[in-house]
Amino acid sequence: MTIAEETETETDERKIVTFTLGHQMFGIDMRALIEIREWEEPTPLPSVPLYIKGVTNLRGSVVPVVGLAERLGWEPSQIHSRSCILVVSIAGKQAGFLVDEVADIVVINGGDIQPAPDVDVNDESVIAGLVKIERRTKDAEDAETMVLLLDLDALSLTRHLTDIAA
Amino acid sequence: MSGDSELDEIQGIFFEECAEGLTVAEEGLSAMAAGDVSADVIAGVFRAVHSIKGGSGAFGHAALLAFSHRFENVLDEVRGGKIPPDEAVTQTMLNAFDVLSDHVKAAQFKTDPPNDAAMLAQLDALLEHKAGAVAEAPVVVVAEAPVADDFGFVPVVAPIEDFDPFGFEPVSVSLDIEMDVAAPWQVRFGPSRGALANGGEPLLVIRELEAMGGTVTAVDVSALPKLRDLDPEDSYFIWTLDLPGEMDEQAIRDCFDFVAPDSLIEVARSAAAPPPALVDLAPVTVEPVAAPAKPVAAETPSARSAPTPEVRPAEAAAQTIRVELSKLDQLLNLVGELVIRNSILADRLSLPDQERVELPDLLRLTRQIQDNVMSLRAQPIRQAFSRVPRMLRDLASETGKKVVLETIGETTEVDKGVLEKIGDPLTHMIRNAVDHGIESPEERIAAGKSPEGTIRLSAEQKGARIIVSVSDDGKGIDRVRVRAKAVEKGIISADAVLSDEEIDALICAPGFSTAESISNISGRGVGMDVVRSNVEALGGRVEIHSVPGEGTTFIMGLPLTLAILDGMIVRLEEQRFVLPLANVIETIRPEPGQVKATSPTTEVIELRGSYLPVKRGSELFGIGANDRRNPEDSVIIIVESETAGHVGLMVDTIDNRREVVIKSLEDNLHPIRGLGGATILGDGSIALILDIDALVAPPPMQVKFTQKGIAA
Amino acid sequence: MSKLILTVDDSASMRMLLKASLTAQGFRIESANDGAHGLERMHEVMPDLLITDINMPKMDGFELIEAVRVVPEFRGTPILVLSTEFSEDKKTRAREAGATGWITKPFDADKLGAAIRRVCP
Repeated sequence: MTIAEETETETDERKIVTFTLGHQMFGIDMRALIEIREWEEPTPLPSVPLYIKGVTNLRGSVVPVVGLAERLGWEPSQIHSRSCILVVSIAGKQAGFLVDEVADIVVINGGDIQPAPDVDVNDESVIAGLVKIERRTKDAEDAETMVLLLDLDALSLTRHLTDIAA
Repeated sequence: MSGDSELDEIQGIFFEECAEGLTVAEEGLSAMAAGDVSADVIAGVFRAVHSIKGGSGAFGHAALLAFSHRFENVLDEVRGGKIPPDEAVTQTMLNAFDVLSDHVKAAQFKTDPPNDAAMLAQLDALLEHKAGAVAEAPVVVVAEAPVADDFGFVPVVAPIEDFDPFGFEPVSVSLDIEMDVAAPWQVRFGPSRGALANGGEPLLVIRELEAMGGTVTAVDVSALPKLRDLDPEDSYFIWTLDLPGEMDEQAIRDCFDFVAPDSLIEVARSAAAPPPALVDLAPVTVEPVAAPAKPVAAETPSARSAPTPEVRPAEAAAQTIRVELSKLDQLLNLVGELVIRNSILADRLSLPDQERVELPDLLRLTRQIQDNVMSLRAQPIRQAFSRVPRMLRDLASETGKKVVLETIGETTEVDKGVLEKIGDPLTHMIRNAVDHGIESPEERIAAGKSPEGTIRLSAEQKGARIIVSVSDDGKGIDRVRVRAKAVEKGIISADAVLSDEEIDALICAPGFSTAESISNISGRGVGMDVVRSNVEALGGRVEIHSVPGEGTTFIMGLPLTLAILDGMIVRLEEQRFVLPLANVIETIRPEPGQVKATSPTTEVIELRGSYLPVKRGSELFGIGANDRRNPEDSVIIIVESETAGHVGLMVDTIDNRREVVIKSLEDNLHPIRGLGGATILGDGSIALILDIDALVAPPPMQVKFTQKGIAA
Repeated sequence: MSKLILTVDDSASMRMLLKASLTAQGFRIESANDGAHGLERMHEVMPDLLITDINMPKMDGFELIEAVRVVPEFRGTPILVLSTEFSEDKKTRAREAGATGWITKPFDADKLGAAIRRVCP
């Protein structure tokens, strides 16, 4: 176990990367993030679910690019100048998530995470919880916002192996 | 917290070593069974079992330890020539090997250890019958006759090497004199010259005894010579120490664990009254034996004659280092990158510059590095084959069928990744061959065959593929029964018209099983359909050839490596794909009229008087789904597939031909039917590698691909 | 400075186990995977103590001990044999080769630590 992990367990503080999909703000554990890259059209693949946009070259590895919005059941993201790919590591495998905009890196307290109410999200298994964070904004009324924390393991692409490869 | 996972990891490595050891042992035992009983072979088996024993103890696998220990004892005697390695003995050892494998498995998967009582009895019988019984536990040899000292009691002198508090306790010699329990201990210690020679430091023992509450009460210096005769490497003192009476004798003796055996060590209870002054007054008379007489070990280390080991362990295990596969993969990735950068560099240079000697040299070196890295992943297929003999022995005893195994091409090297995945399919194929192929001895005799069935396991490299086949000389596939079964199971309709090959292929259909009774072997719930899907997931194919009455052959065609491919880069709608060159027969620029439609969706090409089906690549991949591009504006590549023979594949253009580094889609995603992987081209973009066999496979195996929408 | 120990064993799991249990007791550990490698490493790491297996490919433990003892700098270095063997002739041979002590596998980490401190405090 790494020192960083231990320290975090003690204080129960963790860093998350926040980003937007449409009007929603999501967060993933900072430790899973490998890098953030600009959007680049991936090479499309046959016989894969719609949300797998294709594969891209990440320093010599072939990495799938996932339309995260579609994966979560939202409207597909429209590509624009701030679109980017969050490259994450899920159970040892790499994947790129297309997101609308990367917002921030914030420190949250584990104790502040609330379990996601089942009714609020269409796929409860991919949301690890909800947390409120302060937004770095001049607009005082909008100082707090809710972040949906994603359960990356639940987003693993190999989990759907049987559905896809059959 | 991390300790457990660390231990688990080490355990994992231990079981890897066990697997390697079992392979070595089985090879050695098989060689012995075949008549090679050379010292090297026997020593190799011994070493393998010995290592398993060593680790099993360290990791607390008591049952495995106990069994391997007994097995090792027998092997040690065989190695030492005390048990002749005749046929019966070798057979017993083969059986013991099977039990040992079961023990390893039980330890690894935390299941109940096998019942080894009968096997142990057989091993013991071997040990008893050998010439000259062997003492299993060390026997205490009292080196010097105990001498009564001034106080009238007998000190116990025990050679130190018998003290072995970590494993095998020596038989302790107890004092037969009744003693006041509280009487203090008196210890006399006269280190020998040898105690100083081998990195020993007698002073440490004194310190340790002091730390335990001991007090030095006297030092006998009478043996000290004159200064000019004094050898700084020798020892001349004898210490006397008192220790508290409540101390455990063994604890005191433990302090002398590593003191040279020819030293004087006496541990005894002193007389009733604690008498420090008494001892002080009366210097102990020292017997000459305790003085540093010249023992054998007293020669200087450099002059010491090296004892020659009588049996040298076989150097079966080449010197190796263990490298995580992921590191090799990473290295392979980097080398792949290097190859790509090389070609970018070459492209950027003018033609004359490209031909300067440095660039070709660089390319050649890069290629060599690449070949080397690839060869690091290559392993002889023997590793997968080595499981088979054991399995056959089990199967033979379960079914009463007699089976002889022939193996061919076991040194054929395949990529480690492939190797790891063919074990299970191979197991099922062998089980299938014994269960359904080979007849009982009676049936075989009735059919005019030898009572022993033969299973031939072979591996060979054919181009970029490795062909592994399992053939038996059994009864062949009963097509009438297979067909009836398939109808019964609803796999085919009752009026289906099938060729012999198609009926044979039904064996691999999901949910098919022909076993009339669920036998031990086939009752495990996995059939040949699992074999097929496993092999296909690897980018391989399964073929079945069967001749009634003569036998059946299962053939697995597997990619030789998961790493590199000679390919042709083709374009479809500006997307680039790699076509494995191994599949390419020829390329044709069709003349007008050479490609003819036979239906709105099917086309053929006329080639030297015969017609071959044409598949439009763009349709297979759903790229430009309505594309009715003129065949004359396209290129048709005639490809050969294992499943559909020659087929014309229509693509837009051919870019070039080159070697590409295969990047598995499974690394970060999962296998996709029709694709053999992906590669990274010189400009950093990705091209998908086509799996021709899967792409052009005839129905029902063919899957039509549809390109899903791409976000704008 | 904690004591530096060189362990020589052809089994990776045994090396790792030794390293794990001895590091936990405050020793620094270097390892080698056979006798020949061990001899090389002796010169590189100049350990305070050598712990070696007996049955190894390339150069076995006896040969290693002999080879180590010829080197003047290592004449006083304690050497412990850690082996599953326990026969008297093996022990005697190890002793003759120049071993300081013999420990029979399987070892108990605490006892091994105590044994090490006994020869190498």
